[in-house]
Amino acid sequence: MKRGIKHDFSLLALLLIPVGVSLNVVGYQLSTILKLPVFIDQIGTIMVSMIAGPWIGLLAGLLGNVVNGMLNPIAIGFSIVSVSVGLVSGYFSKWRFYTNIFGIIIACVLLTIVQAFSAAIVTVFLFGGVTGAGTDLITATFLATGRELWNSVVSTNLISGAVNTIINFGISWLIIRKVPDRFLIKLNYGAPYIKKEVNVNG
Amino acid sequence: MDSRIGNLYPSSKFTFIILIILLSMLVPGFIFQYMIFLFIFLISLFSGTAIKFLSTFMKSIPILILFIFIFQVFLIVNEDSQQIWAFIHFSQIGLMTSLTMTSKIVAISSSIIWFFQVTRVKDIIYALEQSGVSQKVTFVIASTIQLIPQMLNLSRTIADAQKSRGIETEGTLFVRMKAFIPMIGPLVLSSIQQIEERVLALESRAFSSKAKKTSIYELRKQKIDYIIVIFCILVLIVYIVWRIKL
Amino acid sequence: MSIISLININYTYPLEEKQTIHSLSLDLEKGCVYGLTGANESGKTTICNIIRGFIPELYKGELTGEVMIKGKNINDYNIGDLATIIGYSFQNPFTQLSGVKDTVYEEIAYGMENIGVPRSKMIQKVDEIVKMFQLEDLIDKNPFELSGGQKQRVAIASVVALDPEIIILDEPTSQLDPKSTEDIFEIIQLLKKQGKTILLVEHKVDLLAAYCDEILLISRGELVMQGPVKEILSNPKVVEYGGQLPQVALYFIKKAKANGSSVSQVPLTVQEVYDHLNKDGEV
Ligand SMILES: Nc1ncnc2c1ncn2[C@@H]1O[C@H](COP(=O)(O)OP(=O)(O)O)[C@@H](O)[C@H]1O
Ligand SMILES: [Mg+2]
Repeated sequence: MKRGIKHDFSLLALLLIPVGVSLNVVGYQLSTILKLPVFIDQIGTIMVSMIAGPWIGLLAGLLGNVVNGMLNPIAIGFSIVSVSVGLVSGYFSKWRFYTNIFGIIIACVLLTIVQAFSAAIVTVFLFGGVTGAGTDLITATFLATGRELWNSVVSTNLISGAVNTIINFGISWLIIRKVPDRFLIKLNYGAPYIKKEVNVNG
Repeated sequence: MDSRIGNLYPSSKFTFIILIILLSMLVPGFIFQYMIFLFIFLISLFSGTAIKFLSTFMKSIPILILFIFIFQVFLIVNEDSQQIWAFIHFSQIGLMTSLTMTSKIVAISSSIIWFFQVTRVKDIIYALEQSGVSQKVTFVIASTIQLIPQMLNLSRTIADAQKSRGIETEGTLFVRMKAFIPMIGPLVLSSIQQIEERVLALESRAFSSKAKKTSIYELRKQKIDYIIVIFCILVLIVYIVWRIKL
Repeated sequence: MSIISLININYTYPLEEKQTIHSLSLDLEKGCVYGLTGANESGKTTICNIIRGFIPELYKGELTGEVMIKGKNINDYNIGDLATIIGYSFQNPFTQLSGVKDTVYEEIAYGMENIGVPRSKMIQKVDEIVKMFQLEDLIDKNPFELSGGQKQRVAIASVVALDPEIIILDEPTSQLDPKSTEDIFEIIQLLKKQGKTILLVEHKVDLLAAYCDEILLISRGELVMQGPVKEILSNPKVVEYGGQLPQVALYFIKKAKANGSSVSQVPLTVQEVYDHLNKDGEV
């Protein structure tokens, strides 16, 4: 797939960005309605990055945080996390990690690490180790046991990041299985998820 | 938003908050930054958005600030930390860190909240278009802003429908987790079908035309807009020169 | 010269084994209204997409044959510029809005914005379109808050605002109530008066009989019948191909058969029935 970056931005791919952002918002709302302990608010970003590639994934992540930032400016600080997740997950899709179980495991591990470190950087440097969410209690516990701030925040984020990645990725993957082939064929990164054998020059 | 401030050109307000953000980062200490909060609150009063401003601010910022103080002052061990009880310490350094950090967070976030409360997204998009930002970018922003409320509505409809079809949304964590997929799955599939059709509809409206776009919506810069921008730039220059000379 | 010519078109969707459109050739003349009809899934929408160039550009798949628009091969047009030559509105009223405008007024202007029409000209044109489509009461509303019929009218208005010579309407009334359907057909008549070439996909044969010049009948991806309305919609073969005939036509065909007279005389619309009966002295 050696095409210019411009090639990634077909109108169909562009339209996936609003859909991805909205899915994140809906996911967040549903998580609160269902009183889930984790926020399933990255499905949009991950799903879009899987079928439309790293750049669209990056933009979906960024725009999602900016839109949230209109009501809660803290979210803007955490843009870098969604941006990294969208970008990295998109590359994994491009390199066809998501077509086999080993690839998926490696991708999830790496995504967790990326997410944890980018979140830790923002948390420590912009917000003194705090995010204003429930996970702060875990960080506080680590601090209480005498760990350093950076160490505590990274540990917290590795735990929450792993849970988040597995759930968000798992749901995205399940849903993409249900997306019709005729839609996937129109997307540059949709081919790995097509169920039917590709014939002619499709 | 129909106030005088609401009707200013977006870039004037944007320059203003950029000035505030830069100053909050450049000015040492924390008093100035905390004063910014009061200042923004005052402007919100003039903009007719004071109540909205306070309620949005209170929803997210105070808890964050409280946690920062707890972490920095009582939990993190600094050179000057003195044990109070078990893992709880007191640190003067931590207190200073908290004050400088939280004051910046307060100043910057209050100006961002204010900006979005007094600036229509429509105006922001118009200003972006006028300043030469790619049509694709403004298109994506505009459609995201329009789509989110629709998707939220649709998700509520789907959630109700699924509930009435017997999908359990109460009970153990596992049961609630399992409810997630039938709620979001149909939403994804229907929105995918919709964007497939919307591509055609947009192409029928010449979306891919190479021509330079025009706009039927119009927002004119007033004299006051120029004054604000020049004023902001002057303030910044004066401050920097003053700091260097000091 | 025909305004649209399809020359020996064959098309297969990607991932499909079976070909969808088979050796289709077609000439459409300027200023005429064509009714494209046929059973569900027979390939009507596919043909529209081929004429508009969305196939193969957006759908991919394998297309052979030639599409000529105003005597020029479609590949020589840019997909963006074609919007000003071919207007195209779709079946589903809910996905036809731009999704970026918050008033009907701006929605109508959206296409013109994209092709860079100067603002003052744009305002003039929108006003003209609003009047033509009788949208005065809706202009300040959010397009998403409209009913299906209103959305469909706004969608067609937005496409017509680009002043295309050719207009393709793919089942514009399939989700509409009778009143909204009537409104759409009145607009079609207006467009015809302005000299537009119209390709109308429609199942409601009674309306086709009243408003079209020619009928194209598609069956399983093949163009099986083509000709003047009178000729086609009185031919019992249409039913064999999965198409429909107007109720009155069916009645008179039966009657003609019983009398042993020719079927080309069959009346198709209420007016024609009236004239027919008048002539026979039955009224
Ligand atoms: N995107 C697509 N991919 C594969 N097959 C399609 C696609 N769109 C339509 N078809 C198939 O092509 C045939 C013709 O469909 P269509 O042109 O939509 O028919 P009509 O408009 O007459 O109802 C149908 O069998 C349909 O299933
Ligand atoms: Mg169809």
